[in-house]
Amino acid sequence: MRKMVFLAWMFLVIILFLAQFFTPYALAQASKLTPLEEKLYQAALKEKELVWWDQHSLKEAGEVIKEFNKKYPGIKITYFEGTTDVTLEKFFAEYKAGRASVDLLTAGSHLPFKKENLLTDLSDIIKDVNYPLTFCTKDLSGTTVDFGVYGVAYNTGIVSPQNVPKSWEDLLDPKWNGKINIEPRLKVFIFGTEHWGEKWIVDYLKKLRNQKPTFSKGVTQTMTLLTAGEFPIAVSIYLHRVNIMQGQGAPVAWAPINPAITGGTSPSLIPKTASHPNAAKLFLRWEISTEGQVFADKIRFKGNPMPGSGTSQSRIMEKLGIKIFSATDWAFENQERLETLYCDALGVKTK
Amino acid sequence: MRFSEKLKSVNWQWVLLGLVVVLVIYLVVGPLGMLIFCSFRTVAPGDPGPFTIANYLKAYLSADTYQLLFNTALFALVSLLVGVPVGVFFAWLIERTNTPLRNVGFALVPLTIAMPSMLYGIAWLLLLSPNVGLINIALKYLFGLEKAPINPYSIVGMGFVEGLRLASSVFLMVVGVFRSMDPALEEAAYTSGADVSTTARYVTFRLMLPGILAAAIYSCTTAFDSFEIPAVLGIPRGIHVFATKIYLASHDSPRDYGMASTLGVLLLALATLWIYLYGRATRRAESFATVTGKGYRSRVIDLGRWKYVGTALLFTHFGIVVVAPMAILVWGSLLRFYQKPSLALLSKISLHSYREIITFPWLLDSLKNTLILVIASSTLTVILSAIVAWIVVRTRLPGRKVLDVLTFLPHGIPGIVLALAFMWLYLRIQFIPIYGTVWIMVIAFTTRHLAYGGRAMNSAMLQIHKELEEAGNVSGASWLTTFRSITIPLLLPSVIATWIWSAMHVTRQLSISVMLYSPKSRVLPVLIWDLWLSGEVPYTCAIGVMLMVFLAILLFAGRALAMRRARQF
Repeated sequence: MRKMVFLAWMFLVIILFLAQFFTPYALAQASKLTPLEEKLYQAALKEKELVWWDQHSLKEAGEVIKEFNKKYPGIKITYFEGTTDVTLEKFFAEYKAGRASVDLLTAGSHLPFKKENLLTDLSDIIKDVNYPLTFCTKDLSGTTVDFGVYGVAYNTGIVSPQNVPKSWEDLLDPKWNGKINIEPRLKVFIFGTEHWGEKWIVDYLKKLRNQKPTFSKGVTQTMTLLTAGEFPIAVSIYLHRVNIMQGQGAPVAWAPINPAITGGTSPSLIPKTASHPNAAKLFLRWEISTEGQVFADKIRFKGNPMPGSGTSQSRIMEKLGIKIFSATDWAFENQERLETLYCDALGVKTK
Repeated sequence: MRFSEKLKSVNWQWVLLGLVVVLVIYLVVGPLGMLIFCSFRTVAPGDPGPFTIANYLKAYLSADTYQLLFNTALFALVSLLVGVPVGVFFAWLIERTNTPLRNVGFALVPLTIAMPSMLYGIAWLLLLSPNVGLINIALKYLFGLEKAPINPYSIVGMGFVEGLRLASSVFLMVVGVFRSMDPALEEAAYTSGADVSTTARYVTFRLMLPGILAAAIYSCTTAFDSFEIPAVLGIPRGIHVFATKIYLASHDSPRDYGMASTLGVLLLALATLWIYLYGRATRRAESFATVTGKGYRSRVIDLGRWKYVGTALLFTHFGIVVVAPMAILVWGSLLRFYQKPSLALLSKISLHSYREIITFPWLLDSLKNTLILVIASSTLTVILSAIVAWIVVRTRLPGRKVLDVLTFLPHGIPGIVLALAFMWLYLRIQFIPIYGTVWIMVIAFTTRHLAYGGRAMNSAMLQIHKELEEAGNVSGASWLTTFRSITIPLLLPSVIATWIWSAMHVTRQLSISVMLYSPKSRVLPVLIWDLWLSGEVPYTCAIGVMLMVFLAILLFAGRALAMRRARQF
């Protein structure tokens, strides 16, 4: 009997001893954490969860969360998908009602948060992963995690290689009359204003209007219709969506039209109202780390598009010989005015 | 008197009833009050700001509002012009003619009801896309057209789809009237030498007019309230009706809270008008006396050889309105990205989306939230409706008519407006922390469904004689025991039917959930909406197919259970 009790105790001790190696913290320890990372992870485990708002599709966000949880188990992430202007509005609606619920969000601009003194300092995680300061706000309270590149995409099943448009002027060719779809928020033109100038864009859009384009709000939905063959050409489309669809075997490609436009910085921020600030910092730290960036590039194809950065977006730009123009904060500050001006020129209503 | 004696002397019947009255007032009056309050302010809820009529001036002086009114009216009119004739025609064909297989038709025609409107809209978008939609391709081929004849991205296209969906409701509303119509007047017409078409024109349809009018007004109310189809087909092309504009004003950037509330109040006024007209139409129906106390059997019209055309029409309608949308969703769920159906693609179909969606991080949470919402909201609706019905039918309590009207009031409130009102209310009320949780949806749906629950329970309560409850009281049972052991079991078939009805509507309806959800309280209809917006067509279709299977099981299980209980009593 004594022997049985002894064996039972031994079994329990061994189980408890082994169990410590399988706790979330131990699993993370196995991959060697930096001191800051370790501190954040321990604190995040106590917080247990994280509320994250961003503009990735649910599927993409799901994959990112899965990968993050592989390294840092024990943190439940709740996700909301919204464009950067929607996340900004949603935050302030909740904040003013005293019910801010988000821990980490990507917003169109960090300035409204700065005005209300709502930003958390991110210098510690930026330094910890050695993230390029050019992708951060000056006060190090926001970091750009991914980059949207806007341009023109086409359906390879409908547009033959010799007919692929190679310049913006090519889209004015009568053969495209009634065959172009435009995403009516016109981001490619808004963020390209500093490159082309307002007058050139207004004149161009007036000519494009004569092509009787159709309009479809939402880049992802437009891509769905482009892939299905509803129209052959789509303007103001994200390059990374084209890459994703191509990866699935869809008949779509990026038109080699110069320049492609990137919207510059849409910073990821941690508001001071965050209920789970450590989990938010840990997540953002992972996103801007080499490991996170490589994974994001693999899943979302939204890495730095500038030449030589080695991301898939950058490689495609180099292969097609396309230059990139990057918008500054000026475009964000003037976004609403420009949208109205350009929509009027094109004869479309978005609101 | 000691405390325990005092407790015993309390009449708990009246305490419980009092609580229910307060709860109903809180559920209905509170949110509407907040909606009207917010319409007189131009700032976000919680922000300091003066009272102003600026929103009303902005709304009534803006051409956009009248465009919106025109769009909504045209959308309702088109859906009416499609839904009412189709619904009435098939009700007549099935109930009053000798069309073969009409009994099968009776089961098939209303099946669109089991399909959530949003999925119906998505399916029709895929069927009617000008260049890749199967129906437009077929029509272009058949008639040698260059351009697609039906444009789903237009008010008329949206109204057409809504009308097809509404035809089922019209059918169900009118079929009963056809069935219970006294044939004496028709027979008198035949005896006087009138033929089938003259009798149909001058007797049958005139007798049916109040019933058809009631169905038309009901359809109009539904079309004014409709969010899902205009959201799927209209928002991407910037074509708005009231419901979608209210959604965008309160959710999109830049948000215009005051305008959202003002448009909500305007839509509420229009909906109230429809409810008033509906009340008048159904009241007048009595004077047409389609049902008399005499025993009768409706005359079946012999269509001769045309009866086979009738069968063909029935099945063509079923094929277009039910099978085609369901089939396109199944097709969409089997591909990695949406492509128009073709034989060449058969080699590419797989269950990949189903496998992926099962491991989707938010599916389990959404299912859990949906389950909580369905169970809590439907149960609460049934309990409150039963107690209110008891007060209205069984007691002489002063003000019981007001309670009856209060529970009926949410029927006139469009889902989107009700959700907006709840959003405002619980953003402001800090001590009830349900904003952003599944519980705000639970009470919003409960409020919304009280009207239906109240009507169903009132009718059922009227059928149960008071003496059964009196027998319980005479035997010494308390009011609560009598209510629990006698009234509720007798009401059970209606209780189950109301519960199932509520559960189905909670699972199908997007307009309330999409306004009130947060990432933590995402429910299935919202998950489908989010996936659709993300461009994940295969996943959207896969969850949609699974949801429809679930709804069909719920519908059949509920019907079987209710029929079994009905036989027991």
